[in-house]
Amino acid sequence: MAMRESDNDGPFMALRQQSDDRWRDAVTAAQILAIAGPAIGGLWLTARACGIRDHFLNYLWSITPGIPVTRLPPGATATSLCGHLDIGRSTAAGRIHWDHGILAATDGGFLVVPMAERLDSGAAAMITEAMDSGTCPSLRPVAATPAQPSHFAVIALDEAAEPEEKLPTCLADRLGLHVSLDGVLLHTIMPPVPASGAALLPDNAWRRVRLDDHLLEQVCAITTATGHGSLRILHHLTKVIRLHAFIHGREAADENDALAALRLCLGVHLTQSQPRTEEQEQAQAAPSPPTPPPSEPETGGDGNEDGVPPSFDNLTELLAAVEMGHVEGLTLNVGNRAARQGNRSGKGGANARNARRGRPYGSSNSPPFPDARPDLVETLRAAAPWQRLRTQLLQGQTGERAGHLLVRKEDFRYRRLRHQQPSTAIFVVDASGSTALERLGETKGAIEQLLASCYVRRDEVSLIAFRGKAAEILMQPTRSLVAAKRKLSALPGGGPTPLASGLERGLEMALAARRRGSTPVVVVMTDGSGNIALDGTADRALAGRQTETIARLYRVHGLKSICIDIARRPRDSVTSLARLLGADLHLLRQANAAHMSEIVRASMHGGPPS
Amino acid sequence: MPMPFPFAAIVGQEDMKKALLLAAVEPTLGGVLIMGDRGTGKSTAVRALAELLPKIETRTGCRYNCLPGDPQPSCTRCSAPLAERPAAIKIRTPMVDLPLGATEDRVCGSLDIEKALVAGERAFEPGLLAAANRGFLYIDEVNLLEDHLVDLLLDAAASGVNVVEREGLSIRHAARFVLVGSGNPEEGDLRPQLLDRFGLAVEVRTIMDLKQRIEVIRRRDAYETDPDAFVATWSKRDAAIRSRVVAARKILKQVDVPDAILFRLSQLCMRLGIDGMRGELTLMRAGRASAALDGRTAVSWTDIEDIAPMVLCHRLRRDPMDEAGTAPRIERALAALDAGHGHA
Repeated sequence: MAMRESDNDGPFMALRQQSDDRWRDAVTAAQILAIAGPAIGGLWLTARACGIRDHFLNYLWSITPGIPVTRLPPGATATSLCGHLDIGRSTAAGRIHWDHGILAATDGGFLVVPMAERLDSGAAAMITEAMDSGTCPSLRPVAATPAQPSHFAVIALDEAAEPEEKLPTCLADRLGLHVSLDGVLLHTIMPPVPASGAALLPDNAWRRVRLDDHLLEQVCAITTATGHGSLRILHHLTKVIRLHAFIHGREAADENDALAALRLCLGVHLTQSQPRTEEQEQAQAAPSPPTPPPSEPETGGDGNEDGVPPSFDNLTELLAAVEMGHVEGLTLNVGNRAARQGNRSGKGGANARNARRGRPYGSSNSPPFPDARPDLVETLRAAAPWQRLRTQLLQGQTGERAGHLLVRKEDFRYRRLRHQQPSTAIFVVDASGSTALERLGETKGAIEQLLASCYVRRDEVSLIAFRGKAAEILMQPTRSLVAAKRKLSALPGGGPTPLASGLERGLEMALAARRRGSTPVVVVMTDGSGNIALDGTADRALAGRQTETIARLYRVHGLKSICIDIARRPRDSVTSLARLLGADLHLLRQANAAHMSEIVRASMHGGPPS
Repeated sequence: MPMPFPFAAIVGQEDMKKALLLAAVEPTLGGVLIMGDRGTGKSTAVRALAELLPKIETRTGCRYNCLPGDPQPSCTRCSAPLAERPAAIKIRTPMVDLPLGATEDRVCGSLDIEKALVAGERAFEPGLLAAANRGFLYIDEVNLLEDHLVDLLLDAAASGVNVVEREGLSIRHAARFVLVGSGNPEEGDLRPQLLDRFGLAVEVRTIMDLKQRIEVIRRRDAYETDPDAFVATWSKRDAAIRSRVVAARKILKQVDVPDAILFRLSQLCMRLGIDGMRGELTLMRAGRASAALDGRTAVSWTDIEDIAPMVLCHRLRRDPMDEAGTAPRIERALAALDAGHGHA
């Protein structure tokens, strides 16, 4: 249908086609979620806040009437999730008043996590624990109360824009469905979704759908080949396969279900360039009442399959394509499902003064972070001078004699803690020219030595190399030696010197590190002669000007930087670059891992946190 | 609360299962660290283990899991006059999850605010360490835990006592628990001080064998469809494992470690350059537990060979330049030892 015309209509039709497909998948995912509920974990929705996302969510609510939806407030803390002592009401009532948290209140509904990419890892761990155990993690002493039931499906709204923003892995791993609304056009959703009123109730009948071993084996092989080792993901996938079959009224899952599930869970598509596109002409998928008529161009010949005993050609082909690396959406999704590194709290900046741990340096009358615990001694000290006055006041008002301490809201004091921020060392390394390999090797050695000793302060290290046309981030900030070793095993070298681009990347990363509440230290290793401009052209003069501009920005932002001159003879260009950067200049005739890591360590630990 | 997934139904991951059973037989081993990929059944195994183990005796409402015959002074319920003590009951082996966001108060216990504010009374509100007494304390993502909490846990785990000295409180209570930590090494390393305190460390990898993967999915699915029926099908095998653990605990004290084996243990540790005595001690204890699990009363060298990697691999000095893992180094050392002395 659309495919046949699109040959002439050019890119717009292709875009529309893609947009239609995406939207249809999203609608199917919503239906699956409506039926399965908590069994499937939840839905990972990648989309920016926009009308299309609202439209999708409205559709989801419309097919799940009566199911409560709780929106997680940003910055939800352990106590607000799992319940806390309501101090105000407790003091007023004179007995413990325990406020059950969000997770217990969400029981039986959907938990919407807005800005999930900024979700605190502690909060994510609590949500996942509740998902696993079906009960709300109790912060109250165990014997006091029975565990609160808490079954819910999570809808994580992922608005990640920067590569360092990712859903906490523990949560992403437990969400069965992944829907991306990027590239869905307004045009696609203009006609309102038909049958949106048809409510889909949670139904366990889908568990009776059969999934035979052969199909399961194929799906297994494909998930492994796409790099999804986690059994949890595989398990979700098998559930989605059966749910898809159930929606379409089949009693045994077939290949179409498997293909759809692969798309819905992992985002694995066959690209258009696959040889099978010819056969899509008669593509008309199996009956799918609630969805608009699908015409799936990328997923392989649905048309041949009706009534034919299950053959798994398409899956075999998909597997082959995956192994050859011909699959659209694959890199994106392996990346998306990859681990978020380190302990990103996502609340940058605030940690230095209002830390949760560290040395106390004073007290304040407002809590430094939401679930801070009052400092009892200071509170009592603040309340003490008022006791006589308050007793008289109480007697005057009510006539009763207070037998106990009168503590009011304004008396509460909180201890404030100061914690030294961790550092992030960002190596910006010149990988051009003849000595590149040696230099990279030594830098790698220095990074590993730093990592081997930086666990105490939880420092992070990252590596940017520039060569050829532009700079490349070889390693995002990490403090894991294991991850570093895997990433640094093969480093390219040689070619011209895009110094400006390297500095730009370094600046971006340093500012990102600072946003996360860490103190960046940028280590620039170069011989100072950039000859490639930011746009990749070989214009030495332009490159020089751009380098200067960017270098000045380092000073403007007050970034701590170290410049290591690796030229054979000291050059003025490096000296002036160091001056522009405001960097400490070191000369290093022979790149030497031990020496280098010593310099960097000294500057990471020496200076006070800014 | 639904029954946890049965321990016996966990496919593969033999190292992890063995390590957990060893720790269940011999709690003084010092905990188990499970590092590995996501979705490999780490938490499932730990939760299953708590269900599998025999129930422990305590009194109704006791929040320190006191032995009925040996009440702790800090527990007001159990140390009440004999007539007022609540009845003794049997409860499931405690399995306490330590959430990442837990505060120090929550872990150690703190002043009971209700009593302090309302009655002006100084009372202690026990924390997670009290709840985990005589059971397991499980920390998922142990490598992301805040440092000050790690210090607290280590201190309590090593001494078996939780000491609270703050806000005018002075409380000591028993906190003998098996620390089980799990995590993903790609998200950060553990401090070596903490690493060393774990008695056993196992690395779990995602099962890549197709048949096994399918079996995992099938079992998991059967469990989710009807948990009770699934647990019932596996209850016999779970019971078999339970009786093995119970029998092993009984004979553990009688298990003998021959001098020749002790001698070779020390040689192995020296050859690997392991600091301190903890490696040898743990190796000996784990060897005992392993023999007891098999129902034998003498440790053989095969026991030691089996468990040496999980006891020693996290104690080796880390060499950042060494590409190969630590397990091959232990195997090499074992092989060299065998070549030098012949089989014991």
